[in-house]
Amino acid sequence: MNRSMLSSGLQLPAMLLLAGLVSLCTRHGHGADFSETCRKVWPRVVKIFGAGGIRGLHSYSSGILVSSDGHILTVWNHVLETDGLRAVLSDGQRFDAELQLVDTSLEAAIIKIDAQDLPHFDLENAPSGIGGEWVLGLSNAYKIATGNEKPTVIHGVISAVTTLRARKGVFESNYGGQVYVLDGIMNSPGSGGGALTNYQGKLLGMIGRQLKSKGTNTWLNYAVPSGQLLPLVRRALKGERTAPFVDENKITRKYQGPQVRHGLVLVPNVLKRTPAYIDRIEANSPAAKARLKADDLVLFLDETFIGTCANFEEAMSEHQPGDKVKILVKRGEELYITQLTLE
Amino acid sequence: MIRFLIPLLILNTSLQAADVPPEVQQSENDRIALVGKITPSVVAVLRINGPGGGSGVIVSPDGYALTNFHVTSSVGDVMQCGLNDGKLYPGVIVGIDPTGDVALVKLQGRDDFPHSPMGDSDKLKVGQWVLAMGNPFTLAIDFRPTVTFGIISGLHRYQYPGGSGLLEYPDCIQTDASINPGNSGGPLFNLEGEVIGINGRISFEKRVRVNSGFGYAISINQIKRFFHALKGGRIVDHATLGATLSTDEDGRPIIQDLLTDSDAYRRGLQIGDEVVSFGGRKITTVNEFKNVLGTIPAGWRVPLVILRGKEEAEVTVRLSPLHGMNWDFYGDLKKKKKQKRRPGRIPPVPPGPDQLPRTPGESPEYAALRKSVEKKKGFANYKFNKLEQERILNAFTASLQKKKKLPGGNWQMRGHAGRVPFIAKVGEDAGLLKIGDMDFVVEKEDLFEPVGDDGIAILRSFQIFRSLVLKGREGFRGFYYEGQAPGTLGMAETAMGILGPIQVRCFFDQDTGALLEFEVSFERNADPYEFILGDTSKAGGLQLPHVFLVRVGDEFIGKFSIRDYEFADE
Repeated sequence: MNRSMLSSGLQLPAMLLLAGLVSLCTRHGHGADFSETCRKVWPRVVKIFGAGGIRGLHSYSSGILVSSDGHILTVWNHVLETDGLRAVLSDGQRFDAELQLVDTSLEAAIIKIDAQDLPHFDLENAPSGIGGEWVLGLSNAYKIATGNEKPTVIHGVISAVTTLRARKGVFESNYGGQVYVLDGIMNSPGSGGGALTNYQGKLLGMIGRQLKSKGTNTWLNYAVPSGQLLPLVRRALKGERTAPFVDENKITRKYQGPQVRHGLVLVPNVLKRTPAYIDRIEANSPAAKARLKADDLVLFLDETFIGTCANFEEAMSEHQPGDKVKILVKRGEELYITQLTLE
Repeated sequence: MIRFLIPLLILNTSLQAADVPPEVQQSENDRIALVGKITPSVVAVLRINGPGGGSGVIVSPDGYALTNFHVTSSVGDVMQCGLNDGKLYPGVIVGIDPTGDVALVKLQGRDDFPHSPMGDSDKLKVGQWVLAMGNPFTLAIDFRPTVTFGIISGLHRYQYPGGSGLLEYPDCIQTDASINPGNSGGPLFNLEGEVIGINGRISFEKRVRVNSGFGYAISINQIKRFFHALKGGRIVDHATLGATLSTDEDGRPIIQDLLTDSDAYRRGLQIGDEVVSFGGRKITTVNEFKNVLGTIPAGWRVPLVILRGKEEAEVTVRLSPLHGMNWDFYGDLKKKKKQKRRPGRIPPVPPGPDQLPRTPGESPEYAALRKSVEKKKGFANYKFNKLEQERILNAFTASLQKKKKLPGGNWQMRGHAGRVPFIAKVGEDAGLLKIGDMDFVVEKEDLFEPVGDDGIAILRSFQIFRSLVLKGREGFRGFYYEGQAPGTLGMAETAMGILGPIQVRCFFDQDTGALLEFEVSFERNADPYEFILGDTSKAGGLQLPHVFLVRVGDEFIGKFSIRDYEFADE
């Protein structure tokens, strides 16, 4: 039983509380509705707008207020990689936000806005979720809500409390701790950082970054339990800051190797993992002769897989003028292979 | 995956036998009973002998059913409608709302169709339970609908129109109940079994075009405003204020530009005015404004409150048609067909299983139905407009309580205009109005000339009134049923009469059929003359109004109190 789920990168241990699933589902069943809970939770959920908006990367996500003076817990992703970060409260108030603290292993971050007396969740006293419990996910998925429009509410049940077995090629995530696996479609573009609450509106966790299994091609619906996030929140509330932020994954290094000319200009490397799309081709360059085109996505240089702009620069730095390099690009739905003679 | 699911299911059943609290059992029983009650009204809308289809819901015993425009535009004007009795009924297009993605069809063959009532979508709350029903993936070979259960995830959502400016979802309902291709046009129910919306759209972006957890339904309150116009076979149009709003530095919605030939301009709106409320709803953002605007038919008059400096002012603005006065929907469509169109975020209508027991070929019944569809500019099926014209004009005639045939000669109306005595001699072609010592004369050749002043306009309007009473629709060159719209005296049935360049909108009482008011528009881009009728009593064997209040724009220009009517022989 466990084995078959492993293929999607998850282990479902005995924690899958089936008995709880049945009884809790029904106890807080369809007689009642969640409208009161929504009203309670809305003011504590924040819409975040930041970097992205190109190449299918969304430029928005969600956050949770964790202090009265504007600490916001959210997911750590490309959206935060900008100086123009903004947070919009549920009443429509807009704030400039600043990245305060990042925990890359949790894939979570704290951003800060300058405000007081905000309604917020108290993570010190947040309950734990149980398998089978009714939950609500509140977020700004798909950027449906703008200004003072209220976050989206999705209902569901905790299917399992388990450990995220993230690994390369399955779910690519730095986080490998406890998660709530959810049966509702909670994880959508922009929902990361949203609140997972129980039916009473108590915070159970934070909706995680989007994770898609490359094995099964399915998206995981999950949240990181409040307990896992508490240390990060405590550090932030004590005033700790991530010193001038340098993330080893964020390649800002400029290419400084031998002067090879390939004539291939990639899109600006603004994100942690900017895909190596060709922005333009210099005239009469090796790339032009090889008939590469703008919008091609570079996938391989010889035998090296190119996942990002940084990979490309790195692979290129090993070459000398005169080298012949095989290059594989994706053009629309087709693959195109050609050879570059570097100058 | 299958191996995993089987033990889970077994465990589940064995546990269910354990003690379930009675209120939970009751809640489930209620839900089962509800689904049983509403299921018969849900329609599987199917193309005749072809793949594809969507869903719908019957809202009246005579078989009027709501669905999406993007469903009927795909299956055609004549369709098969499967109900959960396992039978297929022929269905025909009645009216369409391409902008709002709504279509009305009529099922044939019964006058006792199972139907569901339309609820009040303004009363919904985020978090409340809802049921979506329909025919996803054209799954049901026996036409029994699929039920999915979820909550309202958001209200007053604004979803942008597609590339062609059509299929806009303003003020819509967002739900996490599963919505899949084929659900389009199907009902969203509250737990009272009322239709609160029509499902038609999902968000999915990089995800697959199936249940994404983000479904959108057109609110039933929007549909109710267009419903009678749709019943009249029309291609209905949404509205524009004639002004665009934008957000200023302080985040307030302000008027950014204004068309000078719009009613908004004539009512005195100015660039820079802040919109505070619209259609009775508080406005704080541009989206909120678009949410209200998108749900109101063209031609309706809507209260608007603006803030200019520190002064608030309320005006009533007549909304202009979004696509202009001469929208030729089918004509435009033909032109656009050359360009390839993609329906954007709308779930496509999936191919149906080939083994569906459809009527083979085009049976005589379907062929006759297809023949009955009357295409005409502005109408999806003019046949239904004629039915509605007949209905309101019959009611109007009855309200006159005519005892004998009226003579067809000139009318003479005598009384006071304000305090000044007046006399009007009103004929088919010529007329004379004396107010105090002022004379106004209309000759036959003047009939379609622009009116120079109020006296002529009033005299011409009396002539039109006489024609309507004596000849009904024959008093006009063109006449059609419009639908329902709010008049000065409340919601009324409206019809439009056309006399060359002159447009006459008549407001009839919904219950009695009596004429309540009429508006005469002598020229485009100018305020119409509005006549509000009162003091109806017997006059020469007819029930006729004895008071005509005349208003132009924001101004009352006169009250005509009539002492007596005289009818001359021809």
